[in-house]
Amino acid sequence: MAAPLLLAAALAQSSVLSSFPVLGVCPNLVLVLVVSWTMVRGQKEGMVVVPLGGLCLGLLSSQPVGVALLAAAPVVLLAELREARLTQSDFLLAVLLVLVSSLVYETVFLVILRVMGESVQWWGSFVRVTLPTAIVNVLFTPPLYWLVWWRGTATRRAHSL
Amino acid sequence: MNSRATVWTAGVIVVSLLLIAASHWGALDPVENAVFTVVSPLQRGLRNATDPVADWLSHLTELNELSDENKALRTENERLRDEVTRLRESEIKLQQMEKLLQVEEAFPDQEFLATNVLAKDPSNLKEVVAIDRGKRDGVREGMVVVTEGHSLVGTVSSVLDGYAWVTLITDPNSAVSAMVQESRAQGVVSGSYSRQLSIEFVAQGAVVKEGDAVITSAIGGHYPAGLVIGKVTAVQSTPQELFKKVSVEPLASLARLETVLVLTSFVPLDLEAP
Repeated sequence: MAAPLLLAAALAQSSVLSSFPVLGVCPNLVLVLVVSWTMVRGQKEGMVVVPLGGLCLGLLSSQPVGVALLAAAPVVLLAELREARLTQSDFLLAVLLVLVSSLVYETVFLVILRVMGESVQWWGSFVRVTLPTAIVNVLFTPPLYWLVWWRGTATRRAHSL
Repeated sequence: MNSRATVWTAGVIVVSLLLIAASHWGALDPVENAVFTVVSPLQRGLRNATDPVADWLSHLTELNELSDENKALRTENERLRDEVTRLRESEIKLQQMEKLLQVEEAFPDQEFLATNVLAKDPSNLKEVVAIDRGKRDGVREGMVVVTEGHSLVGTVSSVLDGYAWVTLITDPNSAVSAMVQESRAQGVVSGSYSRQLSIEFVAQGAVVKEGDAVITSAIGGHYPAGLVIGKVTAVQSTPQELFKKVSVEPLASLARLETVLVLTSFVPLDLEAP
């Protein structure tokens, strides 16, 4: 179920969303989905959906295929916060994790671009891209989290019948 | 951190680095090409389906500006008609002189390859679009891409068999040798993370004013001279600074590209002839 969802998100991100920027940026639907999936279904499933999401983004990107995968990898480590139970609400934790993961994702992406020889303006990219993307990703979290949660509940019901 | 997560992270880092290396050296080109072949009809369909909504939203937000823009365009239209008439006259004179002097044209007629924009790089850090022509159509890295109106869009940054990626002039890593048409002041047009253009390295003494046209210069050999980039929207000059700060608005609507032309007859200086 995760693969078609992630592919659809990556397709939307690369074709449609650029026409509808919010705060000057487009949401990273794939990242929000993999974070939500990891929060709802646990770190073990996160270890499957994070590489899937990273590959979907990488294959539709102008950058080398592994860049998005490498940038998304910290999501699984950050998901350990779920076990730490910082808040009672999984949803609030997911929102927090989307915010942190987005900041980490964009920063790792920039580091990789820098290593590959591109010039990077750290402050400019933080103000213009990294922070707005993190905020927009948070705005997109409720519907996507709900979608993953609803799918999870539906699957559990089907298994219990 | 549990040991399973540590092993997983180490594994993903190794696999990612291997994929980056393989992709960088072109080993994954067939895979990327195959993926594009499968998904490009879907991307095209999605773009076509949502274009009317995007148009409507964009018109809605621009409604206030449209009236002023319409007035300005009418004035500009009048001025341009006058200029066209004078240029026609000059062209006739030039042709007569060429005939007299038996001078051959310095450059043959430019050849273009029309392509459709399929997708945009999903990262907000890059301003790169995918087009549906690639190596087998003669597209090469470094080739210049323009709109149907021949204003500059960007350059081809990587090429697959049937597809290519074009880095737009608004990309933070884009740098185009340019000059202000009226004063011939030289500079480098750079992109930014805010998708705005600016001309760097314009000397304080150079005469640049709002509304001036910015065109490519042939310095560096990456672009043919005279392609329109945009117009100057703001000039900031402080005596303490070495250079002026010049903002430029691109002529091409780079956020909503549909069809673009690859300039196949111009070979950038650092490329071998095809």
